[in-house]
Amino acid sequence: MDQKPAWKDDFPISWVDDHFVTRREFTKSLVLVSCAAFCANGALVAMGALEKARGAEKPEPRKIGSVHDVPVGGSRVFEFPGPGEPCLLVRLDADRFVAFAQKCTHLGCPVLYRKESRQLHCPCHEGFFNAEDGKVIAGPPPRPLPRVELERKGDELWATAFRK
Amino acid sequence: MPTRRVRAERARNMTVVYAVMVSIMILILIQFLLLMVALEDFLGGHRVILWAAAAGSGFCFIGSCWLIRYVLGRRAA
Repeated sequence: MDQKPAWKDDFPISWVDDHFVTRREFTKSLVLVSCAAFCANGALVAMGALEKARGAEKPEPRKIGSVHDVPVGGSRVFEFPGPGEPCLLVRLDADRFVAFAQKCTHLGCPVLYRKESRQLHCPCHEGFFNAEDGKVIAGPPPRPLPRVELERKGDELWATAFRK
Repeated sequence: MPTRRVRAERARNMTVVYAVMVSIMILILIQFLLLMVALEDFLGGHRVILWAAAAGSGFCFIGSCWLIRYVLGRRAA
């Protein structure tokens, strides 16, 4: 009768050795979660301040390509003012080029040009912008797309600044 | 066998710990809501309420610290 049952060898866990979390320990870990949430909020503030400081600098004009690179009704992605900041160049007519920041003003998804409706479309939450001026036509975006100033030097296209 | 008074004291302490636990959970919930709002603001490039959300989250964190200190202080006493 004093023989040890076989299952005790397979599952050698005793109540005493098992890790026991008290209510106070659990409450302490909740405070750590609270600290993590505060740190995440602080990180967002720091990132926002960093981007604001970077945005205050006047961007260097940048060559974004030739007029022959984009067909009429076509579009092309380029980076301005620096790498990792995508913008969209759209050729509306033979002589009309417009460019906007490609990040949707709702949650930052990339917008795409729709030739048939002459609109910029954000597929994430169905936001629509006018391709002529970047104004919001429909959907959740709260503000128009930031427009990039373009300059044409012969056949070359240059991005010079953001129009606020 | 603990006396009735000791058992009543234990029950009262447990109630306090549970109340603090629930309060901290509510504060964390508020913090997550603030974080979501701040994240949406940040991704949208608006950055108007980032500071306010961080300040609110900070107050919630201070509240949590005060509550846990209260519980640990009770235990020590």
